[in-house]
Amino acid sequence: MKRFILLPILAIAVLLASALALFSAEPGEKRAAAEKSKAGADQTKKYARPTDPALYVGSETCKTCHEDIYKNFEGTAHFVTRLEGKFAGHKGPEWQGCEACHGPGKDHVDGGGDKTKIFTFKNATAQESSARCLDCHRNGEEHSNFQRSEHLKNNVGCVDCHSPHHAAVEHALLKEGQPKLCYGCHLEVKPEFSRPFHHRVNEGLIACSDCHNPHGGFLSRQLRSTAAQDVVCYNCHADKAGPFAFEHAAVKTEGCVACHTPHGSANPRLLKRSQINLLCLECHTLTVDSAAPAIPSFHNQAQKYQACTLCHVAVHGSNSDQFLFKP
Amino acid sequence: MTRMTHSLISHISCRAAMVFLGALLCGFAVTAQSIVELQPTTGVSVDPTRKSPVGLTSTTTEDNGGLSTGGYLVKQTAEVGGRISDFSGNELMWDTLVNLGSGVRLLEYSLNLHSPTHGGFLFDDLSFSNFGYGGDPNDLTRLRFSKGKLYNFEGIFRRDRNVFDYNLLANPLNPATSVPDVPILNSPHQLFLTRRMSDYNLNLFPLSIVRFRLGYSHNIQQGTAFSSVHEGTEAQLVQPTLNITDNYHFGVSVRALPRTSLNYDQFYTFTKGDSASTLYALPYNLAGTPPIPVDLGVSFNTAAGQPCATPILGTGFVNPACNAFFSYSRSGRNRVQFPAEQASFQSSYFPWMDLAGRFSYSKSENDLPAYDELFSGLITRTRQRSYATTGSSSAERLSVTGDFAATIHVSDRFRIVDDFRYDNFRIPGAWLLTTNSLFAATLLSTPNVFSPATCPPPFTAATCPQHSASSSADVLADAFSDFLRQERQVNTFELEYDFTRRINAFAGYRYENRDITDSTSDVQLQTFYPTLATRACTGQPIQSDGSCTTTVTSADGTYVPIQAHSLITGVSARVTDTLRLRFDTELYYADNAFTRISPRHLQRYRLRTTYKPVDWVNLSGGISILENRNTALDIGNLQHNRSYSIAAEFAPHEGKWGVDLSYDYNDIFSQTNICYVATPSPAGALSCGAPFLTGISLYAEKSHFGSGSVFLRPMRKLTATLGYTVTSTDGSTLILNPGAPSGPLTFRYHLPVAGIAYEVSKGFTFKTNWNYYDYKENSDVGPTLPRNFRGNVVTVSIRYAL
Repeated sequence: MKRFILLPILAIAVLLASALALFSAEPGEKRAAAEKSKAGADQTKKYARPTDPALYVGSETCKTCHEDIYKNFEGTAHFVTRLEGKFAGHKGPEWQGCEACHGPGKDHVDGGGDKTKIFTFKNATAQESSARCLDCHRNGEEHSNFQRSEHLKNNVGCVDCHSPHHAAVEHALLKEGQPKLCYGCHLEVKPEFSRPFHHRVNEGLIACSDCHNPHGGFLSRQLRSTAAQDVVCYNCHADKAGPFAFEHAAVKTEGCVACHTPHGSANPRLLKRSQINLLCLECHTLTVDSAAPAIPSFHNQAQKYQACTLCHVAVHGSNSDQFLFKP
Repeated sequence: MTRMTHSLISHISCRAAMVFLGALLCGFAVTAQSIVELQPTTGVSVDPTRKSPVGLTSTTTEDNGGLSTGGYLVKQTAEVGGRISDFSGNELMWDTLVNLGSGVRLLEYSLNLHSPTHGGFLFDDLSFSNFGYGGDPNDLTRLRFSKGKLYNFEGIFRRDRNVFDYNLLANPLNPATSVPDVPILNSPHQLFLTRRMSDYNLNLFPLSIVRFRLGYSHNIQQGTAFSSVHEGTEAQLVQPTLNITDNYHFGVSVRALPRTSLNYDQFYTFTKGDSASTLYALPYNLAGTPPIPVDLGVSFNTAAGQPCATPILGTGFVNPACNAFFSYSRSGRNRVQFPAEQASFQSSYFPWMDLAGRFSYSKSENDLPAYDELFSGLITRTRQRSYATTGSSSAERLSVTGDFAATIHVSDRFRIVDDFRYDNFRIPGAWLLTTNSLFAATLLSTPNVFSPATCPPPFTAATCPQHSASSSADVLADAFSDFLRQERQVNTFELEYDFTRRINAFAGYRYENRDITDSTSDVQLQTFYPTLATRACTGQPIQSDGSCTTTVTSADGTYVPIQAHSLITGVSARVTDTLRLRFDTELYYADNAFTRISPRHLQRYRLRTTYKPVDWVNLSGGISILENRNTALDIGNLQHNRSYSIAAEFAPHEGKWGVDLSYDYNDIFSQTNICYVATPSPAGALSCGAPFLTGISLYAEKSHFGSGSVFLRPMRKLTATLGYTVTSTDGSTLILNPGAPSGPLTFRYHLPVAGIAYEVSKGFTFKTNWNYYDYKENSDVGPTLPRNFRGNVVTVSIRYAL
């Protein structure tokens, strides 16, 4: 019952906030938006690069006013855009240096540093800012799905996690290291990794991006997969991957999360239940429409049979026993 | 590829090369120049309550501008020191959850070389870092180097020392009323494993029209694991473990057209499983001269006849008519190959449309060519005194997947997204085994091997094999096959609209179709020798030698079609420049389910909000609700997982102080109708077909998580940190065994931490950290040891910035 009350309340709250956003844009903001549009600075989602070389001034010009930012830029991987030659098949000032992201700078320089005459990421929407980044970074499986990703769909763009000029983490120019960066939004995940039995994320051994692709993918929850398109867990837990002569079918059809909570659990082996027999009985019980065989009548739960895995050792699959007694 | 080549490649010691290179580059000892900026972090920020000595990385008192030499700007830091740890309580639980011992440590090391002119000979940028060496359970080494448009390389080595002993796991919970009383103090399934994972990736010409990728991964899991086997009773086995997985990857990408990339990747994975099992211990004795060592197993419930009603006689020796093991061994080296091919593309050739697609095929093969199993002891139910099983097994996994996605930009504000996935795998498996068994009445009886000479008609001589009516076949030849297949199609169609620059929403529909087939077939050729050759050979003629042979076939199959529909919606609003709200929901319905706990109805709601009133204040909150149902007849599955979180971070720019707070309340619930057997039966239980009783498998877990940390920098050279994390969980569950405690369902886990860092001189910082660990279960212990522990770890270190 509580959730049925909660949902309308949440919906109303969001609608109110949306209405607030619709009608509360400050006059200055509206004026700035109009001026940007008038000035021709491209704010569209699909960034169409102006190709007229006359519109570009070069990064050395930018450096004269933005020296600190330029020095930082020199030390990052983006500096390759200043190197000679073609850049990913592209050539021309619209692909080089500062103006590759911020757009042509001539109007900005002629205007004495007029901020409305240059693209700034600060006030751009997630779609707008990400379009700039994706123009170069769209290729390759790592980023090619970002346009459809859960992040961008929820208005989390590239510069929400990355900072080309003020990165705290050199690699990938992140604003913060993992997992703290991810915990900033995914608040419910942090306590999971603090439970007694957990994957070693807080210890620094595993990163969120080892299992999830923050830029999206073809699978739900932006999960990665093995090369054979099986669950990502088998990248490390290869001994559970099989294929086995005797499969525990639910492991392959429902996945590891049928029995485990992968982030962390109060229960050993990251299981969903504190009593293993209940986890097994919930499927292996007499019922009219269950694919799983029921336990035999001599499995007295009040005696030793509550420890299912004491006998059924190979619960992930077996190469030698149809009852999974042996691996 | 031959096994030797595998070994050679594996043992070329890529890790050693990385360490050597790092050591070589360490020779560029430099001194710090004037203080300019903080050392960039190595890519991972860790919770100081878990990875002790660092504290908040932003609070380090050192600044390292680096030194220019050899055309590079070089920055180097090293933190060396030691840990002093002590604990009280359950040592193996300490090792399972913490495992920090005393000793010297190379806590962290980092080296960064950057060529400001991007004119380095071999590389323009190099980054090398590691932590945890010297005895920590987790250590990591990372090496990256790159040169402009030519290549970039990343290598990472990780080691995890995994000790596991949660003593309630797989514990038979022997009651104290057994005679003798044998409590099991450790989990019969302890683990003492070390996992070493190396991953190397090289990208050639990463910015060119044609790009190449090479990758190699090496994953070793090695150590000792304990297991068990059921043969009349359950004996503990020791299992030296060595599993090795090598993965090779080659890929090429071509920008065939503007904004279009075609990619091909070839993967090959090879897994070796070289684990063998033997009996762990023979702690009891059978009467004899000298006494004969024997194992009665770990399960002692004599009232239930486990291992038998009177396992130990008045003489102190084992009852020879009891289930027991003299010896057990099992070996079988399996090899698994996973070749996989993948072709993919991405294209934004048309400005109004983004396309992405992937096709993948793999056929993996698992071969276990020689399986050997030997048992000697007594299985009283069948009178088996020994058996030998040999055989082979094989399985394949054929997988075909295809993904296609399109985003159509109808206008600047309106997008149509469609995402289709086809996933088909099938796993045929086969097993051929032969088992030869010998039978006798007691552990002290010598089993007779059948021979027409020693077992003449009428086949009742004492020299014949001594069967009982329930004895299994003397010779069993079994051909078993298994087939599992799932075909799945999923299509997600969404509309996305940007109402304004501040608010956007999406709505979509997902359709999923799954077909699951699971079938088995078994053909057994069973040969029964006298005595009692007709014990399970009904209707078959007795041969001249007194034996009887029968063929038993069985087959079973399940087909489960599932069709599911989902409605997905979401709204995202940047209400003001400082306030963001995001809300999304999924409503799911399926007409069937493969398992009883898979949902037929699902509702997910997620609300996230962040508020930054000023630059240095970040407030956030989140609500995540997941509701599952499978209310089909006999199942009655209801589940929910509800999480409510808030967090606050205060980090003024001056860096003199900072506060980080978070709280989460998590409510996990599940109930499912079950049928089970228990004697004595619980009060109120109803029959669901004697001897089965109905019950509700109930699991309720309510967890509070709180975390707070403060850092203070009263002067430039001094930083102090203080933190506390606590997880408190209470819950309830159905307990069917009277000896079972609630165990992990009610616990408190306290993790306070404190630290000081003082810059002794330029580039040298003295650090000390204290971590405390307090794990306590608020439940009865059960027939085993308490699992609580407390411990302190003090880390003292010197951090150099050279």
